[in-house]
Amino acid sequence: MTTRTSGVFEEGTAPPLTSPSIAMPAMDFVVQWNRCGITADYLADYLAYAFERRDVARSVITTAANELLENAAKFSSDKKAPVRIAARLRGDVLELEVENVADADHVDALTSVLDALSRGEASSLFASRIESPERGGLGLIILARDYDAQLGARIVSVNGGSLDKTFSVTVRASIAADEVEQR
Amino acid sequence: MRFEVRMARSREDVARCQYAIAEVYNRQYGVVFSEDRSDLEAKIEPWPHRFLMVLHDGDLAATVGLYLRNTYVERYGQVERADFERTLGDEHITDMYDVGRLREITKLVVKPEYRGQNLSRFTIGCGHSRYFCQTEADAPYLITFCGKRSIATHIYEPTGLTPRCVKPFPVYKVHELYRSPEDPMDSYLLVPEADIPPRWYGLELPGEYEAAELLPMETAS
Repeated sequence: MTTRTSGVFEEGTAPPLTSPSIAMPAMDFVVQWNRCGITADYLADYLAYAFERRDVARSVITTAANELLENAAKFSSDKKAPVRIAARLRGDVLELEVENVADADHVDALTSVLDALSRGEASSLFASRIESPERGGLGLIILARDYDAQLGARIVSVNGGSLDKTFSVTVRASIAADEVEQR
Repeated sequence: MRFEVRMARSREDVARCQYAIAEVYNRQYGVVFSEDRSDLEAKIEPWPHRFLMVLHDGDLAATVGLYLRNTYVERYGQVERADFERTLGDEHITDMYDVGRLREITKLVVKPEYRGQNLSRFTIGCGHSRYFCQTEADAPYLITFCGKRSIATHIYEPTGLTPRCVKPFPVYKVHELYRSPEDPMDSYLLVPEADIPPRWYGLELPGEYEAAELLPMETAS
């Protein structure tokens, strides 16, 4: 089993004040796509209590969580495997994380976007994607551009060996609490 | 092989059909589904309102859906009332049917383990039983569908159904892995009494049937 990271995948050091998580089969989202939004809304409602500007925080969190969930559900290579979304509020930073199973093609595309975002290329990436028929990763780019989110991924080979085809991918978006409240 | 054919009535039956369809459509075409919204550029498809189940020993072997209203052809096919009326042609038929009353057969799926037995033709035939496609109707509806030309020639026509081609179906991202320039999509119309053989239109549902007995023109491939 090999593990690598892409983009900015640094976990905060402060202990989390709250850390809810939810998991469900990716196929549940495929069957009713609105479940992505419902799940994101639930998580946002749950977390918004920790913020003073709750309505603003709720809106930002639900947008970010929905982008992460839709990506995870869409690119899950095994739709019967779970998609897990977790949040950790570490005082000044909110970490949102989704984990799913993906194939090598998706991992290559994802790491390319995350590495470019870590080099501060959000605006140029956004401009090129919006003009292109290939919109892959646009949601992540918007999170980086609009909320200054730090984005990264941990990629773990599931089946080991040189013929790796399946990976457990954990994408994390870290957003400063001030950005969550749009201060 | 003998199959039980019935409309999905319970929430559990509907969910079985939806998961069977979603699994195939997502794997093959990257499509997702929603009851609340559709967006063909985002590859989000609307769920049909009713589902027909083809079961073998209780196992769902195949399913097909039915839009009772707001058909895909009407919403996305850019088909005008005049297009439908022109397709109907015959004055007698035009008097009998209102082209504003349409239902659509859609989302045919045969589970992989049941393929190679002409079950797609059998299921499409059963889907045109009036006990399914005219269910809860106070007057007969015209039946429409959209699909690749190969579906019309390889599934509909050998089943004895004679769909009338209305016009080419526009290009949407949702069909990028389905259609091709060599096999484009069209919108079709079927007039029940004229285009659906009585053995299908009058097929009593629920019922148990031998697929081969209802597909006399074809042998299993």
